[in-house]
Amino acid sequence: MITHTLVKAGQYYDSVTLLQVAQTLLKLDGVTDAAVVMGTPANQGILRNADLLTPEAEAASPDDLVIAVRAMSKSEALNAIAYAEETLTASQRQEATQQSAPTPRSVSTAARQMGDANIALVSVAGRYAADVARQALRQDLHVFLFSDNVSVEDEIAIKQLGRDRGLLVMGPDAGTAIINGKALGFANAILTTPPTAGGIGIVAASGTGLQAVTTGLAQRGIGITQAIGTGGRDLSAEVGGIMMVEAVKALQADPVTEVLLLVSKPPAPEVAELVLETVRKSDKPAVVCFLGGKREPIEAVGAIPASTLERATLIAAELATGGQPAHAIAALRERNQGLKEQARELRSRLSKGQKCYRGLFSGGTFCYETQIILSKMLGRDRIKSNAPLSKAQRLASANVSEGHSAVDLGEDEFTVGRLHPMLDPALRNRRIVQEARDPDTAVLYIDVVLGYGVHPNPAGAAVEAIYEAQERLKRKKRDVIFLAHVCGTNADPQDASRQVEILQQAGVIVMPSNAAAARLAGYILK
Amino acid sequence: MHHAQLRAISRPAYDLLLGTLTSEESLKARMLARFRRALNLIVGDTVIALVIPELGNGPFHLVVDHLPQPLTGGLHPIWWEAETLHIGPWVLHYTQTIRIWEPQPDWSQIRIGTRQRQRFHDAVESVTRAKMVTLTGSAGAVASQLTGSVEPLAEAVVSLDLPGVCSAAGTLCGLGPGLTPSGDDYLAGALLALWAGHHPHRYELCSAIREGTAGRTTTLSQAFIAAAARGEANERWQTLLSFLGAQPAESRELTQQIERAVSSISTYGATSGMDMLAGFEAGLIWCTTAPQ
Repeated sequence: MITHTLVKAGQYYDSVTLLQVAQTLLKLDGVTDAAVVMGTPANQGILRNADLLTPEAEAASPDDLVIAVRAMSKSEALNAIAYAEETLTASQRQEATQQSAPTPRSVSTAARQMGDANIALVSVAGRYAADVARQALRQDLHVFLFSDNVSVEDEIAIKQLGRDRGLLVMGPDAGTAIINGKALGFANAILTTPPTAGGIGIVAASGTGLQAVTTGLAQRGIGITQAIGTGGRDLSAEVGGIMMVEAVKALQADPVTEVLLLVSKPPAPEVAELVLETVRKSDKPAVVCFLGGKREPIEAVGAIPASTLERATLIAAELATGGQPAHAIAALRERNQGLKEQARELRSRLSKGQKCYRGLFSGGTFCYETQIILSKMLGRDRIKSNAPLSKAQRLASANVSEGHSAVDLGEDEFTVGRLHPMLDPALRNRRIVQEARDPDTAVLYIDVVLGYGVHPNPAGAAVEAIYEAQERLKRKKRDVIFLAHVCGTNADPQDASRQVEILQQAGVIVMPSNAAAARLAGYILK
Repeated sequence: MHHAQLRAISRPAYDLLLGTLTSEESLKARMLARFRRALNLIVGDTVIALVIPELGNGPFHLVVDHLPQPLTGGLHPIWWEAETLHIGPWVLHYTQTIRIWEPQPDWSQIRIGTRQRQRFHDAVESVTRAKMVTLTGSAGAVASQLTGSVEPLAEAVVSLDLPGVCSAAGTLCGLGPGLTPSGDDYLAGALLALWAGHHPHRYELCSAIREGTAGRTTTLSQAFIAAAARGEANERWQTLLSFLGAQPAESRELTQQIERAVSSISTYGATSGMDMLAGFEAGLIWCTTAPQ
C-alpha cells in the first residue's frame, strides 16, 4: 500500500468539483482512499486521520490544492493522480465554455437555450412549484416535480394539463425516476443507456419502492426502459391515478418495453379499478405490487400480483428473460426456508427478555412493507409505527419505541427543520444507540439507501453508532442482532458492495432485500 | 487589450485602487482564481474580484458587464486614465454615474429578534426542503468534523470564552474541500448574524473569530471572513437582511421576499451559500443567549 500526494499551487475549484473528483478516484482500480482538498490545517488534520498526510501534503499552504491517494501500488497511485489532474483541467475548460452562455432566468428561456430538452426538473418552494410546472408543460416539457407542499388542487390541475398535452407530470414530492437512462432525483446508477429490446418499464407511486425494484433488476442485469415516479398522492381518490394511468399507456405504446411493473401502496379502490383496467387493455405482461393490497383484482385483469418489492422484482426479471414467474416464487420459498435456519442460530445469541423488533427506516415504503410482513408473522396489532398500517398501531410518540416498532425517520415529525435521514444520518445514529440500550430490543434493523444526492457513505455513518451501541451492550453483557439491507448498485457513488462490506465488518447481517430482512426478523422473534 | 464596462465598484475596492493615484509605487495585481462568474485577483495582500452582474455587488467586487480573459503571468500594473481603469491588459470603462457600492448595511436599522429569526428559519426550511440541498455540502469526514467543531464554538460564544472562541473558530476554519471551505462559510454567516442580532459582545467575538482563523485558510476565504467580521455583506445578504429586518406585519408578500432572498443566497457558489445560511442561523441563536 502506498500513499502519494500532489500539491498544486494556485489551483482553485469549488467544493462540489473537488468532492466529485475524489469520489471518482475511489472507483479507480487499486485505489483504497483519496482526498482532494485545499491544504488548510483543518483539512490536513482530516488527511492525517485518514493516513493520507504525506510530508508534501503537510508542507502545503492553505492556498495549495492537495490531491492525496492511497493505492495498492505506486503505478496505481500515480495513475489516479494523473486522472485527477485531467478531470480538474477538463472541469475548468467546461466552466470556461459555460461562461459564454447566460444562466436562464425562466423556464421558457431555458427551453429556448436547450432546444432538445424534453423534461423539466422543478425543485422550488412548494407554493411556487405548480406555476413553474405549468410553465414547463406549456413549453411541451415533461415535468419531474421534486418539490413537496403542493396543494392537491394544484396537483390535479397540472396533471390534467399534462394529460391534455400528452406529457408526464411526475410528482409532486417525486423522489426518483429514470427517464431514457437519465437518473432524476434520488435515483441510483442503473444504466447509461436504456435497453433496445426486452426491457421492463416501471411506474411507481413510491420513491424507495422504485429504487428497490430498479436496483434489484440492475443487479440481475435486466434492462429498464423507463422508471416513472408518479408521486405518492397520485393514487388517492382525489387525484384519481391520473399519471399512473398515463404512464401505463405510455409504456404500453413504447415498443422497447416488454414487461410492465407497477409499484404502490394500495390505491383507493376506485383508482385501483381504473389503473387495473388500463393494465387489462395492455397486451404486455404486467406485474402489480400494491403492497398490502388484494391479489384477486390484479389476477382478474390478467396481471401477476406480487406481495413484496423483492417478489415483484424477481417475477418481472423472470418475465423479461423468458422465464416463468413460478421459478421466482420457488426460489424465494427456498430462500425463506434458509432464513428459518439462520433465525434459529441467531436466536441463541439473545437473552430471555429480548423479544422486540426495532426498525429505523429512511425509506417510507420499506417501513410500510416491513409492517405488512411482520404483521402477518407476529400478529397484526403487534407492530407499532409512526406511519402505521392502521390508527390502532400508531406509536404514542415517534421518539419512543413500544414493543415491535418500525419507525419511519423520513416522516414529517423528523424532517421539519432537519434534513432527510438519507442525507443526514445523525438522528438515526442517536436512535440506534437509544434502541440498543433498551433491554427489550432483540433485532435492530436499518435500511441503507444509496444513489445520487444521498449521503456519500451511509453505511460508514451508521456503523459509527453501531460500534458505540455494541460497546455499551458488551458492558451490559447483552447482544443485539443488527440487520440491514442495502438498496443500491455497485455503480452508485457509494458502491453497494463496499457499503455491504462496511456493515458486515461491524457485525451487521446484511440481507439481500428489505423483505428478506423483515422475514428473518420475524422468524427470530416468532 | 480586453475591454469591459465597469458598472459598480465596492467602497473598499475603490479606496484600495484609488491608492494607486497617491502612492509612489503603482499597485500591481496577480490572478488568484478564475470561476464562471468571477475572476479573483490579489492586489498587494488584498483580494478583489471582477464579477458579472448575476453575482452582484460584494465587499470586494468590481461588477463588469462581462468577464475579460483571465490574466496570465505574474504581476500586472494598475492605473487610471480618463474614465478607464487599467489592470494589465484589461481596460475597464466607466462613466461618472458609476455606482460606488457600500458593503456595510446600516446595522442600526436592522434588528433581528425572535420573530425575525423564526421568519428566517421558515424560509430556510422551505428552500432546503424544496431544493435537495444540504446545509453543509460537505461529506464524510469533513461533515462529521464540521458537526463536531460547531458545538465547541457555540459553547465558547455563549459563555463568552474568547480564547475558546478563537480556538474553536480555528478548528472549524479551513474545513472542507473547496476554495471557500464549508467551515469558513459557516463562520462568515455566523459573523453576520452577530451584527444582525446586535450581540452585545459582537466586536470582541468577531475579533476573536478573525484571530482564530488567521493563516488557517485560503486567501479568498480569509478575505470573506475578514469582511464579515467588519460587518460587510454582499448584495444578496443585504437584500435578505433588509427584508428580515422589516417590521411590517406578517404577509404572504414578505414571506415570499424572504424566501426568494434565502434562495438566492443558497445558490452562491457550490455549497457556500447554504453553509453561510447555516452559520447565520447558528449565530442568531447565539444572540438570543448572549450574556449582557
